[in-house]
Amino acid sequence: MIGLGPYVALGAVLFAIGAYGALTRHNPIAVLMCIEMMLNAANINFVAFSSFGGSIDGQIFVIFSLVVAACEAATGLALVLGVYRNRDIQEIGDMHLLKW
Amino acid sequence: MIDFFSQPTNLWFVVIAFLTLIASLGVVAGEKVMHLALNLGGSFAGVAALFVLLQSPFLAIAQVLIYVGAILVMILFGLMLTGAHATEPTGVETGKKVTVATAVIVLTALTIWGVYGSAGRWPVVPSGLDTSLTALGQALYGHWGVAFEAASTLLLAALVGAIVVSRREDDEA
Repeated sequence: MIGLGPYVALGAVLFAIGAYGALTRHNPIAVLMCIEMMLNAANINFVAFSSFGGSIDGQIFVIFSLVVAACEAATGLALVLGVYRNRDIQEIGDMHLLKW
Repeated sequence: MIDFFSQPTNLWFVVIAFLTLIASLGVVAGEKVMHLALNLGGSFAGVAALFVLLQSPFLAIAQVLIYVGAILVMILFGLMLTGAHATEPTGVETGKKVTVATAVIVLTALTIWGVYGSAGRWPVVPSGLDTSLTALGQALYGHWGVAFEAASTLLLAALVGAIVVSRREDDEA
């Protein structure tokens, strides 16, 4: 039986892949996708700790995390669509109106 | 090594983890944004399969319904509305990519080192927790009832906000 370790390690690797993508992608929607992947990595850890640690609270937290991910996708896509429609920006580097 | 793979759970974990990582790397390394979204679906499905391995069938179903069914479809709609043929530029900003990759790899290596450095003190056998729908529902609506209501308010506020932001200006009357 594999223990808790491999699940946590997989969560770390998945989070790292998502973080790399979120920092290097150019399309705003691709950045959103990578952020969703990082949330997924956290969910793996929640469920693994809940399953091996014997408390159901981790599973409840995954449900809340799903809610927050849905909120994030809805508002994020609305913002991207708004920026695209009003300013015709497709690269995330072009959104620098508030940049110092 | 033979011993490790003789248990079906271990074999399934390796297979699912491999497929999930391949799909996730596809999201990061792909070129066409539409292909990234399809790879993301594979990554979500792999995580759902991991939930099944961890004896959490309800969360696996919720993962498929919400991530693959709702969020991925929403992302695909977003892509189609902003140009589905968009591609990621390749071969630019190599210095930035190397820096970010180094930082991320070092942090991950530290995490994994921390995990396996303390591996002896961590549980190896699943606790046999009752993850039935009944137990989950009782925890969610009992102990976590207030948080559940707060989460539903957050979802409502986010969806109303999304509609307000994405509405066209000339619709206002």
